[in-house]
Amino acid sequence: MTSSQLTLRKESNTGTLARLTSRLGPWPRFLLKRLVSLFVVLALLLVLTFLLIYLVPGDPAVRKAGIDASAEQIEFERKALGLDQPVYVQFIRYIEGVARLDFGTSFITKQSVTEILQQRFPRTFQLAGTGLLIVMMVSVPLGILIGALTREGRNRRLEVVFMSVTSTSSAMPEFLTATFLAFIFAVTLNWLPVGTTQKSTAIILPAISVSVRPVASLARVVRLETLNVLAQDYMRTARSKRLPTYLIFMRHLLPNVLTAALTIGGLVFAGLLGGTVIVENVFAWPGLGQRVVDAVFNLDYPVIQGIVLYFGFIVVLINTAVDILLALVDPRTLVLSE
Amino acid sequence: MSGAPTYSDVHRGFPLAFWRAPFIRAFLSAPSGYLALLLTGLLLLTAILAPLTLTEDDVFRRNVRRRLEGPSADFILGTDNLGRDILKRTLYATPLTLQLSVSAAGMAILIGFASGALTAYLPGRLRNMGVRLIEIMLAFPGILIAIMLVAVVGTSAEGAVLAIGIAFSPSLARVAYTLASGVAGLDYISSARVLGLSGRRIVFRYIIPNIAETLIVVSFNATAAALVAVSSLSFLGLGVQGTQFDWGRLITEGVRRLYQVPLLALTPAVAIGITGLTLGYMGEALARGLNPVLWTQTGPAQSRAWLRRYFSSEYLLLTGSTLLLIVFYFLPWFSPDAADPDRTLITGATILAGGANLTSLSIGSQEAMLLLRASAWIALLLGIVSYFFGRYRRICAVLGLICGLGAGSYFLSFLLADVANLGTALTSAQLGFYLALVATILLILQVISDTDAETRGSQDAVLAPSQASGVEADLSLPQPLLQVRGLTVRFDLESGTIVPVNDINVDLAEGEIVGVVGESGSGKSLTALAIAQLVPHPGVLTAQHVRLRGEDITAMPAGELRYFLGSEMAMIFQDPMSSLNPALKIGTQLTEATRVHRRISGKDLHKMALERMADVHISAAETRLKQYPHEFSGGMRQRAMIAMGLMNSPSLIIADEPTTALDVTIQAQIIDVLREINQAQGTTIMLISHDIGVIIEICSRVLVMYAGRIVEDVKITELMTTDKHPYTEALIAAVPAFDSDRDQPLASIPGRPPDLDNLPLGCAFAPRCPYVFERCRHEVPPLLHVDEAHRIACFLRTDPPEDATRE
Repeated sequence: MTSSQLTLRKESNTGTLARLTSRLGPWPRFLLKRLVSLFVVLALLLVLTFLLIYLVPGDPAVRKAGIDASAEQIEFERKALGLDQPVYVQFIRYIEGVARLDFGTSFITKQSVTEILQQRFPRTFQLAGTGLLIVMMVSVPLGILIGALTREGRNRRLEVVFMSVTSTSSAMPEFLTATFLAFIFAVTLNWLPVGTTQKSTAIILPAISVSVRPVASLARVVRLETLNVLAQDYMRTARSKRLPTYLIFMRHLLPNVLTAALTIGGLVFAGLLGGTVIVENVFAWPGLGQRVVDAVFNLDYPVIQGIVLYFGFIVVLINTAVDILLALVDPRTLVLSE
Repeated sequence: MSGAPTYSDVHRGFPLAFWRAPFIRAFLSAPSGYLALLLTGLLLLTAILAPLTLTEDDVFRRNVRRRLEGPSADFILGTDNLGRDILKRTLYATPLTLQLSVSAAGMAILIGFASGALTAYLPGRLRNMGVRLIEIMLAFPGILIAIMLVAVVGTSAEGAVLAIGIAFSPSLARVAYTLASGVAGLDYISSARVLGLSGRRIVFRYIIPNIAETLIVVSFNATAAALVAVSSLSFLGLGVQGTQFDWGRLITEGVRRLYQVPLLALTPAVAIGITGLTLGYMGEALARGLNPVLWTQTGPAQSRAWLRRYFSSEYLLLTGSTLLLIVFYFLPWFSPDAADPDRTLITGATILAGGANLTSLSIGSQEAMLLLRASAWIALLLGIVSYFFGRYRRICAVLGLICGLGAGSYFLSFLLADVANLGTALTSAQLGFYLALVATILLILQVISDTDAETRGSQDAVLAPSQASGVEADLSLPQPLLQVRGLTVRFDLESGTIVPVNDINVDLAEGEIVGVVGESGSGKSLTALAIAQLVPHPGVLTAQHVRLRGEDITAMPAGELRYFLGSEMAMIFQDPMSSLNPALKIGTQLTEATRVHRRISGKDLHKMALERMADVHISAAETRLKQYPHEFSGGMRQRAMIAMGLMNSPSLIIADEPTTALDVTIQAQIIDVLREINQAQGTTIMLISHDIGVIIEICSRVLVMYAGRIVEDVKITELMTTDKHPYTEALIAAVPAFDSDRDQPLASIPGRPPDLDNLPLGCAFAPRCPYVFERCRHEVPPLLHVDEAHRIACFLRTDPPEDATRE
């Protein structure tokens, strides 16, 4: 996957941009390209969320005014929403709004979307952040350890166990994991609380629920990459220098394995974010995921727009950050991405 | 694959091989194949029978008086908040859930494959844009896209299917793109294009048939993903609406009452889990079945080998104890609830006995249960230990046996005392006892058959050829720098044992440059790795001794060996491109060994590094040290590699084909550098090469290897003059010289290089040797001195036959 992505990028960035940037050094050129693609994706995101209001069946003005509203009220709401203006004017207003961080107000609760985001996002961030922490802390050491133990066909049985455990848990949907975990640790053993945010231990079960799937899939990738790196000639060179084991692993293996883990880090994070939407609903965790489901259920367009845009921003930013980090860790990426 | 498209090229993927015997064999070559068939059958049966046998009454009628009950004879898994049977509702939801998952997957596959295949066929720029778009869409969480799409298409079952179909198509589009662009690049597609076929025909006649098999496997995985996604949407309340319900929706109801009736959520959750597993197994087994590589590998015997494997003591311990643990922890769950005595109660035995209405009496006393559980846990532990650590499996099996017998006899006495109940009831304790009994008997059988197998195994080992003993060559040199005696490397593989390095005896004097030459597969590189104590897994090194500076490195403790070899020996490898770590600066790689072994750091170390870089003629060393390997040229990398080896002033450098990956002018530079080092610092060099020209240029002595043995050890000065081993002669004859006749084909050694799996009984070179005689075919010639510094392993030279018969 790594190589295919690299080649894809390589192909897609030839042309005018390449000519424009050919005079710059590798780093500015790389950053400029990333910046351009960041803007393209963000623009696409803006257009799509803007179009949402047209794609959804039914009249937003009617929706906002309420079912038993009079014709004047509906007309008033139509004006207030700017729906009487031509499409391009509406789009410009939409962009202006987004630039001012003003996403409108909820049809149902009449709360401003910005406020909802401010209120809810910290919870989602807390959950996704803890999840990501668990993913990195567990899957990378686990993958490397299992990789080292199963290199060159050693410990076949450990490999079988690892593969079956990870393949089962990576196919396990978040809401099942969440249900089982809640049943075991909250209902049966009564060790951990659920359905609250008051206690500091309340985040443990939701965070584990979102991270099981990414941990399993990332650990597999890390193990494969560890096997791959261990089989490289430069690892034999390191052994021939009789370096202590910790140096061989920390200095020679880790950077090369991390590169691979980082490459799919963006995808893992996206999966984690998707997982939070589900898990928040299982544990009644008051984050954005819970709110977006309510909004979709009630066709509360401004809230849907705001939250989808917000999630989109985060995914795009994380992916760009991963790209830059990748270039920092592995200088070859700079050359390859040209 | 070149030239005009032929029928067999085009239809490589068609017709699908489902009905063929090899497919079925490979499909069933692992337990997942059988499980897939069994579970699929059960699932389909449920999906068909559930709506036929269950009435509306069973599933929808409310019975508030009996709401939120636990398991009972009336409701096997209890009731929900409206008093409806949980099991019946779960079964009833099967067809709808499956139908929704399959349609969502179908939609995703249709959209994904079509767009992916189309993208692959688009012209250059458009294709790049398409690929980029797929990549961008893949970056967003699928479930979030689906939720947003639900807002557009409406919250309903159809809406959920459509939303998931669209949201999950990008990943399938990428698979299809990768496959299709692989096929699109093939020769027969290009020729079809040249023939002027239309795009539509190329896609349908050529591309789709060739990728069909992979797509089928991918489709199964997509269905599993769709099942999860549909259930997730329904779970969130964005899928199935109204009175309809699928598993996801059942879980929503259940999660709210997880504390009161856990089974309300767990039953549909388990149903989703089982279905997901079924699809996964099916995909895995199909992938195996459709992989032509496995068709030839899995014979009828092999396809059932796993059955025997799963009947071994560790698997018995594992499965037996797990089963027991489930029974012991799960059953009390269905047991009489003290708080609610008037319920009709059954034990789990009822369920296991197929719903027959047995009146249960008791679960067994507290301490009995405790003991049973404890013994099951111990058995599980023993199972895990014997699974991972094969050498303890016998003792584990015996301990498990004692454990089972102990717990079993305790319960036997327990039952005998309570003999009145024997005929009427089956308590969980009794059930546990019977299971323990069965497991114990199986264990006894297994221990017996294991012992049999091991006895047979040890007899085989005795029959294996004993290691050839080394000839104690008494070279009357003072004290050689390196003295190797009886060095052998063995690989015990499933197909048999191979010995790629066989009984190597050699001395290297201080300051010598010794070449090692031979064809690929002659064992020269492995000999080098063996001397360096770096034999790759699963190779086993044996030797009388390997002495470096008089110290036997095969008998040295690991810590001491690391320090000793780290400063006395350095290795240079073939490909400088891959032998340097791409993620580390040259400076770091150059200095790290010195920092560790000689505790030098800071300015001194830096100065040393600069000096070594100068030794190998790398200019601007100061900046070069800060660069990464990819900023170096090939020849410069190899010189950096040599500088790295020189850092600790080793007494021995082993260079394994240091010039092979480089072009001729660079080769000469590297050879010069090695010679300078040897002359300036007196370092002994062992130079391995398949190029005898390189060796003649720099070495004073050459070891010729063939099929893992040294066949000749000769001074370069004598190489052209004296009688040699026939293989050495052939090697020299194969080197083209400037005066070679260009009209003649290049000389080569007739016959094939030796096959280590299948070496001849006598001299390994005998099948290719022009001078072969009878003795060569059944006796291995030993490496013997023909004069003071010349050893040959050939009967023709060491013990010529009287009449020198030639065949």
